[in-house]
Amino acid sequence: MEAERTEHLNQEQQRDYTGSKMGMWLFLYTEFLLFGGLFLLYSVYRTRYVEQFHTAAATLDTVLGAVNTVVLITSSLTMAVSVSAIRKGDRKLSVSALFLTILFGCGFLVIKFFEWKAKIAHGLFPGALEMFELPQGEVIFYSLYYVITGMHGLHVLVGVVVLLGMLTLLMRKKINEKDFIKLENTGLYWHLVDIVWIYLFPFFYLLT
Amino acid sequence: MLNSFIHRIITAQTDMGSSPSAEPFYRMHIADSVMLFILAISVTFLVLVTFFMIYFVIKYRKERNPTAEQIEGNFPLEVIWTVIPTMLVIIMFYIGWAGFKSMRDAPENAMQVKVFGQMWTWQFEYTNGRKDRVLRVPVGKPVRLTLASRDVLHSLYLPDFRIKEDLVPRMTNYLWFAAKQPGLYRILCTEYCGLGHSQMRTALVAMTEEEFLRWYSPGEAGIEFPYRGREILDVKGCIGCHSLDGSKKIGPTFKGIYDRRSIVITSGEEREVITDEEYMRRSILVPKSDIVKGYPAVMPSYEGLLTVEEFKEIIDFLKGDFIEKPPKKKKVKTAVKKRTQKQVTAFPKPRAVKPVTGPEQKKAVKAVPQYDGKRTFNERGCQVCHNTSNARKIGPGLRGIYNRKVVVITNRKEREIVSDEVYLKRSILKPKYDIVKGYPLLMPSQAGFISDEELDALVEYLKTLK
Amino acid sequence: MQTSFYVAHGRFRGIFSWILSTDHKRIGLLYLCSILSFFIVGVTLGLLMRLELFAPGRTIMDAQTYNALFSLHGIVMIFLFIIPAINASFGNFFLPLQIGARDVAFPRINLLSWYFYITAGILAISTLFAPGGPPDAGWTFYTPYSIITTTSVSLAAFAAFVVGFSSILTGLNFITTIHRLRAPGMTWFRMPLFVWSVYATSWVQILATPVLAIVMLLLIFERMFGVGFFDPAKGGDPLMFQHLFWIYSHPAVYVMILPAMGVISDIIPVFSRRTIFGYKAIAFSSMTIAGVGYVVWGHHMFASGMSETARWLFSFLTFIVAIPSGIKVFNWVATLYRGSIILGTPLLYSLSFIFLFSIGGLTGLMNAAVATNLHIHDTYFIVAHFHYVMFGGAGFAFFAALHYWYPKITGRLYDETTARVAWLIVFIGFNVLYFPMFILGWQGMPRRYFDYPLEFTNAHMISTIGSWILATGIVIMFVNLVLSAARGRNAGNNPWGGATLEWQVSSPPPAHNFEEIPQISKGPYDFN
Repeated sequence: MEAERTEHLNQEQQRDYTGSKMGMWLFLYTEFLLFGGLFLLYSVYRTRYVEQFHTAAATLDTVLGAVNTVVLITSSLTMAVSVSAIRKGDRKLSVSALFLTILFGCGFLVIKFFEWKAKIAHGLFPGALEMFELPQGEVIFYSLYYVITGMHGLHVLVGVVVLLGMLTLLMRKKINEKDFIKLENTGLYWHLVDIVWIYLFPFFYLLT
Repeated sequence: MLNSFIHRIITAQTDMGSSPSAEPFYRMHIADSVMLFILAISVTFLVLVTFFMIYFVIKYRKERNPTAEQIEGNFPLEVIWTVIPTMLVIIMFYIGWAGFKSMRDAPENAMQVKVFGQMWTWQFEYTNGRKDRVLRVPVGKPVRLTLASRDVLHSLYLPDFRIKEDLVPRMTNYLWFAAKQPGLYRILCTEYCGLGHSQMRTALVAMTEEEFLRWYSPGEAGIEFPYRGREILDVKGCIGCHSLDGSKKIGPTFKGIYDRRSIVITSGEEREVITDEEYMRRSILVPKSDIVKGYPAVMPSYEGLLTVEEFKEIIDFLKGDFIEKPPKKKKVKTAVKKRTQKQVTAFPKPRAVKPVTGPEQKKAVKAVPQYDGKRTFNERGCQVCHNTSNARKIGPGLRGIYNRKVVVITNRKEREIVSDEVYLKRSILKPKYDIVKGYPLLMPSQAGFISDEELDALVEYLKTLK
Repeated sequence: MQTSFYVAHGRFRGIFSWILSTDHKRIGLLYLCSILSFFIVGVTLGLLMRLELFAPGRTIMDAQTYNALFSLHGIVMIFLFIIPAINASFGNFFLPLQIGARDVAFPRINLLSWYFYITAGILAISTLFAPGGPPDAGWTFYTPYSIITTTSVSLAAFAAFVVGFSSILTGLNFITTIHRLRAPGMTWFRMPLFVWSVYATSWVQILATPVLAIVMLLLIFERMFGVGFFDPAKGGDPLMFQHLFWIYSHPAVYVMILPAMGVISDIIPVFSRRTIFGYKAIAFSSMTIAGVGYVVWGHHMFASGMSETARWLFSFLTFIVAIPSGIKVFNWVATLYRGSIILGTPLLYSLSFIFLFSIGGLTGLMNAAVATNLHIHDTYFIVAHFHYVMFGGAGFAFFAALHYWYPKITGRLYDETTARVAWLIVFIGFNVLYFPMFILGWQGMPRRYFDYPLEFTNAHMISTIGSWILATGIVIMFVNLVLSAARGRNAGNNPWGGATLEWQVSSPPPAHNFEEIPQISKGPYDFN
C-alpha cells in the first residue's frame, strides 16, 4: 500500500489518479452539505406548516417534474457511457454520448424555465404582491421551491458549461484512454446533480 | 412630562447602579456561587500550569541543563490528566445545569407581566391593562415576564439578577425573578438591534407592595408615582455619593440639607452659606464653585443632564426632608386607599374581573378613555421613529399625513398615492407593502399586536395631526 | 546551493511571477502579505472603536459609524485574518516542506483559492464605500435586523460566501496532499504535529464551510427577493438562521485555533531540544477537537429561547470539548520538563500563548455553564473571552510562527533584542486591553454598545489605553521584521536546530523544495 501511495511521487510530471479522485469526492461532499442545509430548512418548515405545504405542493406540475426526472436520469446514463467508452479508447462513442448528455442537460433547463415562467405569470414568486395574501406556510413553500430548484438549476448550468469544456478536450484528444480523470470527475459531479434532483422531485412534487 | 422623564431614564448616561443594599435579590447567589466554583477550579489550573511553565523554563534553561532528556511520554500521566479534568467538567456541568433549572422554574403564583421590545424601547403590560415603559414590581413577589418582540431580536437583561433572555419575533420566551429590596435596577438590551441599541435601557423599580398597589390600581390615570424626586436621585446616580440617612459618603448627606447653614470653600476662601434653592442649583450645575468643607471636589457637573422639571422634583424632594410627598389631590389619595384595601387580598387581580358599576364606572371611563389614539401612539412607540411635526426622523414626519400625496415604492416600483385611511391602516399592519420614498424599510408590522379598536383610534389620531 | 524560490520565477516575470505562480511557497507568501494587510485594517478599526469607548457618550463618531466599525472589525478579523492566518499562509508554505513534497496536490486550485480570498477581501473592504454605508449587522448577521437594515449587508455576506470557497478549496487540497504526497517512510505518526493540526483543520473546513455558504446566500436572497426563511414577518424563523450560522461558525473557531496549536507543538520541542511529550495524545486531541467541536454550536444560543433539552445537551458537549484542549496544554508544559531550554522569541510567544489560551479556555467553562452563561452572555465577558482565545491564542501563535519560520522564509535572522522588547509590550498591552473586559462583563456591560452607563467608564479607559500599548508593540514587531529582512544576519539552513524537514533544505527553500524526495526513517522531534 505504501508502495502504491508513493509510486507517483518521483515522476517528473505528477499525475496522481487516486489523488484527483479524492479531491473530487471531497468537493462533492461539500456540495452535499450545501444542499443539506437547504433540505434541513425544508424539513423544519414542512413539519411546521403541514397543511400549507400540502396545498402549495398540489399546484406544482407533476408531469413536467416527472419528464425532467426522466431527462436527467437518462443524461446520467449517457454520461456513464461516455466515461466507460473513453476508458476503452472508443473516442467516437464517448463524444456522442457526451454530446447527448449536454443536450439532455439543456433540455432539463428549458423545461425548468417554462415551469418557472408559468408560476411567475401567476404571481407566485417571492416578493410579489399576490404573495402578501397567501398563508405564510405557502409563501415559504414557494420560496423553498424557487431557491432549491434554482440552486439545482445553477448546478446543471455550470455542469453543462463544464461538459462543453470536456467535449472540446475530448475532441482535441487532451482526454484519452490514458488520462481521463477530468472526464471521470465531471461525470461524478453530473451524477451528484442528478442525485440531488432525485431527492428534490419527490419532496416538492410528489409529497403533497 | 412623564414621557420626558422616561425618556431621560432610557437615555440616561448616568450612574444608577450602586444598589444600596448588600444582597437585594432572591436568587443572585446561584449564578454567583456557580461562578465562584468554576472560578476556583480555573484559577487552580491556571496557577499550576503557569507555575510549572515558569519553573521549568528557569530550572531547565540551557545554561543549567545543557543536554535535554528525551522523554516520549508517560501513559499513566496522560490518563490522570484526562480523567481528572473529565470528572471536574462533568461536576461543573451538573452544577451549572442544576443552578439553571432553579433559575428557570417560575413559581405558580408569580405575577405576570408582558414585555414587548421594539427598536429601541421597552413596554411593560400588566394583567389589568396598565402599560408603562419602566418595569415596576412589588418587592418579595415573584414576577414572570413573558417576552415578545415587535421587530428584531432584543434581549432583556437584568444584570443585578444575573438573568437575560432574548425577545424573538413570533416567539414567546420567559424569565422570572423576585426583588428582595426596594430600589432601582438596570434593564438593558443585550441583543444587537441597530442604531439605538445602546440606548435601549430602562429601569426596574422595585417598590413596597403598598406603593406598588397605589400605582397599579386601575382607573386613576394621571396618578404619578409619589417618589419622583427620589427616583431621579437614584437614576442620576446622586445616591452613589450622597446618603439619605445622614451618613457621610463621598459627598455630604442629603438628610436635612435644605435651608441649613453650611461652610463652603469658594475660590480658596471659606464662607458660610444658606443652602437655599439657588445654592442647590449652583451646586448641581457648577459643583466646583462652592465646595463643602471637608469634602473632595470630585462632583461632575450635571449641566444638560437634568431637565427643568427634574430639577424641580429633586428640590421638592430635598425640601420635604424625605417625608412622603402627598399626592397632588386629596380626593385621589382616598380613592387610591379604598382600592388598595379592596385589592390587597386578591392581588394581582385582573382588571376585567372586578365588577364596575354606577358612578365608578363613569369615572373610570372618563379617566382612562378606552381607545385613545394619542396614547396608543405613544405606547406603541410610534414616536421613536415618527415626529408629529413635519420633521423627518427615522420615518417620515406625520403632520398633515392624512389625505396628503405620498410617493411610495410598491413592489420595487414608484407610485404616487393619497394617504387615506386604507393606506394608513395598511402601513401600520403591513409596512413593507408600500415604502415611502427615501426612507428605510425598517418599520415593524403591528399586525397581531394591535386591536381593531386601537387601530381605528390611532388612525383617528393621525387625522388630527395638522 | 540551489536557487531559491525567489529567484526561480517560473513562466512569468515581475508581479505576474507572483500572482500567477502555482508554487505553494509563493502562494503562501501571497496569503501572508494579504492577511497581514487585512490584519492592519482590522487593528485600525479596533483602535477606532476603543477610542470611541474611551468615555461614555459620543467621543469621536456617531452610533451608526460605531455599529459599522464593530461589524467590519469582526468581518475582517474573523473571515480575512484569523481563519486563514496560520492555515493558509504558513500551512501553504510549510505543509509540503514538512511532509517532503514538492508542492500541494492541486497547485492551480491552490492559486484559485487565493483569488477567491483576495476577491472576498476587496469586496469586504469595498463595503466601506458602498451606497448605503458599511454593514451594521455585526459579523454574525443575525436576522431579522440584517434583513431590514439598509446598509450594504448583502455585499458583506457575499464576501463571506466567496471566502468560504477559498476555505473549502484549501481544505480539500491539504487533505489530499497529506493523504497522497507524504514522502516515502513518512508514516502518519512521523508527521510533524503542525501537519496533524492542519489535517484536522482541513476536515473542519470541508465539513462546516458549505453551511455558511448556503446561509450567506439565503441571507442575500432574503434581502433581494424576500424569500422569508428567516424573516418572522413572513413566517420564517430567526432561530433557524442562528442554528445554521453557528453550525459553521463554531467549528470555524477550531479552524482558527487548531493550526495555532500545531505551531506551538512544533516550536516547544525545538526550543527545549527534546522530543514532544505525548505525541499521539496531541495528535488525537486535534482530531477530537475537530469532531466534538462540530456539535457544540448551540452554546452561542443559550439565551435565545432554545428548548431546555437543547441547552442541557449543548452545555454538556461544550464542557467535554474542554478536555482535549486541556490535554494539549498539559503535554506542552510537560515537554519543557528536563529540556534544555533556549528562551527565544518564538518560545516567548508560545508560552504566552499557553497562558492566555488557558485563560480564554477556562473562562470558556464559565460560558459553558448555563447558570452563569445567562448572566455573561452578550456582555463584555464574552468579548474578553473570545479575544483571549482568538487573539491571545491564535494571534499569539501567529506571531510565534512568524518569528519561528522567519529565517526559513527570508533567509535572515531578525533582531532578537527588539523582538523580545516587542513581545513584552504586546503581552502587557494585550492584558491591559482585554482583562478589564472580564470585569466589565461581570458587572453587566453589554457588548456592541456605542454608549455606556457612567459606572463602566474607568475600565473602558484602562482598556483603551491598553489598545495603544498593544498597537505600539505590534508596530515595533513589524518594523523589526521588515528591517531585518533587509539588514539581518544570514540565517543558515537551520538556525533553531529544528528536526522537521523544512529545516533540512536551504533558506530560503529552493523552487522545487527537494532535489530528491527524502526517505523518512525517524520522527519529527528526534534531536539525537
